[in-house]
Amino acid sequence: MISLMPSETPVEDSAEQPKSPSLLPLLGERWAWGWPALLAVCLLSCCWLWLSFMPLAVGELWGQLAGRAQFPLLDGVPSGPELPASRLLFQSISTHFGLEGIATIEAILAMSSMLILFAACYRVHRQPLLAVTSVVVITGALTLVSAELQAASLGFLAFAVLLFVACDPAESRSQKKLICELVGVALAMALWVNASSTFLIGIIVLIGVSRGAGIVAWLQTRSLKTIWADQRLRHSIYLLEAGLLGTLCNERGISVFLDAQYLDWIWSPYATRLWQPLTINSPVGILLAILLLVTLGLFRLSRGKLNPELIVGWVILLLLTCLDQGALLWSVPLTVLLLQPLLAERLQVGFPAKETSADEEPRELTAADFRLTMISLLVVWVAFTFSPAGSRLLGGKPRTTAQIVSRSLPVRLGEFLRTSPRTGQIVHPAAWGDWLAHSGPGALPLFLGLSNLDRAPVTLFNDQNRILNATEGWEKTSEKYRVNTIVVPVEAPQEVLKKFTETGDWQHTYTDDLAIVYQRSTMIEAMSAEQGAKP
Amino acid sequence: MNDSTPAPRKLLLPLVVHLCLIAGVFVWAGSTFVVRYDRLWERPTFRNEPIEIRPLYDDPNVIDDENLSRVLWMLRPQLRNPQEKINHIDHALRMWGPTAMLDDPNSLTGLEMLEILLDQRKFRQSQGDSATSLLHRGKFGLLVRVQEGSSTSSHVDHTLAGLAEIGVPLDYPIVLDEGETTVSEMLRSAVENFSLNQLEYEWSTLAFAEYFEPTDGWYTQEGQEITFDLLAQRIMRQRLVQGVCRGNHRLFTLVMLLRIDEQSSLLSPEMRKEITLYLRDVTDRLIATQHPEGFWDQEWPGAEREGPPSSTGEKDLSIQTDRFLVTGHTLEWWAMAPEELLPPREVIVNAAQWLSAEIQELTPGELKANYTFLTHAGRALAMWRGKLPAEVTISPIILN
Repeated sequence: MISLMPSETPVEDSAEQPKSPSLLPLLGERWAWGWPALLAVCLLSCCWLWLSFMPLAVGELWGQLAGRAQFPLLDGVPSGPELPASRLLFQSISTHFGLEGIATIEAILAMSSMLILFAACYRVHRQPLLAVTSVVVITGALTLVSAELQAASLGFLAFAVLLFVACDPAESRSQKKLICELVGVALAMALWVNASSTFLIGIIVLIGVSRGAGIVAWLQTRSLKTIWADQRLRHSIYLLEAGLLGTLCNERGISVFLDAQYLDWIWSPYATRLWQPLTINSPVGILLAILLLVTLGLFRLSRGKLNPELIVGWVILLLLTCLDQGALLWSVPLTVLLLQPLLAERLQVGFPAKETSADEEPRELTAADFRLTMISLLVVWVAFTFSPAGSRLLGGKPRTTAQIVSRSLPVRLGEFLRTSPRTGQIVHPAAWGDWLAHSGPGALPLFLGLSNLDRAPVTLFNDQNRILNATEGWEKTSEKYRVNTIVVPVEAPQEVLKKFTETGDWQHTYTDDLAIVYQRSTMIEAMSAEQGAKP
Repeated sequence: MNDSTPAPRKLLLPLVVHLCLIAGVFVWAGSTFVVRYDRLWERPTFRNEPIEIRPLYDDPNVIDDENLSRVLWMLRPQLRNPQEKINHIDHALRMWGPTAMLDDPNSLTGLEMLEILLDQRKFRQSQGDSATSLLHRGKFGLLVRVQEGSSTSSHVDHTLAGLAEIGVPLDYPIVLDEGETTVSEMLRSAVENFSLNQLEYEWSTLAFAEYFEPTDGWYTQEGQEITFDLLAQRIMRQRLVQGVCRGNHRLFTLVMLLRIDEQSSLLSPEMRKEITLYLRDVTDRLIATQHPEGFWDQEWPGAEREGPPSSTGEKDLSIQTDRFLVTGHTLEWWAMAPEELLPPREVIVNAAQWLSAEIQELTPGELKANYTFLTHAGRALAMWRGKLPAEVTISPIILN
């Protein structure tokens, strides 16, 4: 950005003064960052580090990696939506770079989403510190709820793109800009529908935007005739249509909506099994209560202008969060974006760009003006080197699987199942099913996982619980499925654990910090004899 | 708001196009939903007359006419007793069929047995007014009560499968207190109530195979698509000895699937091959585990890779009962099985002769106690002569 170049001013007394070449900047003034920009870079770098070290979650990611071949009891159950984008991405990353690669991609996707959200916030009020604070709040809130990255990361990226478009404060759009936005929205929805079954959230946001614009138009004109003439409303409808068009870019066409999360309950009565209704004394409940209080406070105290196009979507997503805490992933960013203008007005913060009059001479930049830019770059580099991806690239020690994935996943259990000879069906908590499909031996016949829990027949679901809780008839049920291995979490009640061993039919064969394994005694003996007989 | 003037005419066309587009999307979505929803509720077409599967062999070396007559006479349905167990009547009807008429005033005719099961008035005459009724209406129609006392059936869909085996058509009337219906309602209800994960599925599978027209599959109320391939897989999943009657009903159903598949395509060629291999393995095990006297017991599967099962899936039975149970059932499914699944004939001859001799030694009390298992034995012996029990002419020597 600074180069050593001979000054154009002739040096008059070269004999008396030592020759020192003057420094002239190559970059313009916009690259001469100030303290706010440095602070923003520092906070974003912290965000990056935070996201990089977040463990990979218990969730559908493992199901996508493993496929459903290992759940034989689900034969005949219609499979969930194909998600080729995320499946291809994660499977190829997993094949070539292992779990660390997936963790890095997840972190990059999450960070990209946060940067887009940062840009969305910034375009509303041009206040970098407030924008970066919003991103930190979003990251923090999501971390508080679940300190793990979600498998919906590609969907979240698309969600951020939609919010970026929806947050455009401009009253009117040029033709070129509108086309860019339409293409962007269509691409984002096409990516989302092929990456996650949560794409309905995007449609909700787009419907919200058009409804919001429609309501504003109606309130201002009170005339249906004139509503259609409102350019902003028309644009929002174009965006919705582009979004819908993008959604149709999938191999199942419009029927993909039947399998969309939050819409699939119409079709599959068991879909709501995965929903976690909001309880006020949970971290999510407390967080949502705080957010609502802040919102109400700002509504009352601030004179800032709300973005009406976000309100409808915001209300729908809040209601959805009450039904399922998982929807907080979507409602928190929307809440933060909605509150931005109010907060900016109330706090009167920000560092608006200096107004320069036309006749003002441009200031001559010196090396000192780029000091903070350099420090910002250094901070970015340091953040990168400290992150697992950077560490790996620079020859650092790779992390272990246990360090990469969620602590609630039984990492060592997969190892045990790979090495111990066994036959028959295995019963395990559904939360571990997809992980075991990914980490266990190839043909492990698993019971149910989170990726298929919403479709599993009720009898199967009940039988899994009956065996895991050792409730009446569990032995007969285990025979029905030819179960020879039962995996229970260590925190299972003692009286349940006792039931597994009291008859002598089952033996306790493995324990780690998360899981206990019981196996059928006769099978263990037969397998031992078989192993002994091998030369 | 950028423009509060009324909509210019040039905006009318895009508005109409958009409305059409939205309507089109809704119609498309609706039709997609309807198509998928319809598929969920599609059910196989029923055939009124169940497929008749006849025994394949007639070998007098297995049992001669006289011994067969003796055995069958001993196993005649002497069930004209007040509050006779429905389980016994159900089994006797399956053995003797609806046309049976034995020259014994204490024996029920086939028609009488059928009426006790399907006519609530006759049922009450037999079981008394206070007895729990065998038939009742559930959410999806007519159901047979199971394991709710002596006046109810012993297994899920056992009665229905029995009706199919003896050739009762679906339009056969069923008389209830609230009016008449037909066997068809019982089958429909069984289809709606069926779950692949239910504890007993052998008789449901058999009834479906007998009464369904060829089908690509159908959905259960739980949203699982069922095919006969899947049912066969499910039947072969459990340990050999587990399941009702030491696992033998599963084997019988598999054989029946193979036989019915010859007349009404049910199975894929791969599944047919898999079933054949499975049953061949079972036959080999039975050859290896046959007792020198000719019988089998609960140890019939011999050594299995994953060791002996923790339980044998049946309540503790006496040694003799256990032998009757396994030997009778084994001869029964072999009588229906294709040649390639059969053991050398001396294995069958030994088993049948042991069975015949032992049954003839039984006291009336022992006969009564083991009646349900013995009906399978009696039916098996008759089938090895190429006939169903009702088709066997009981020798006058015995009647006298």
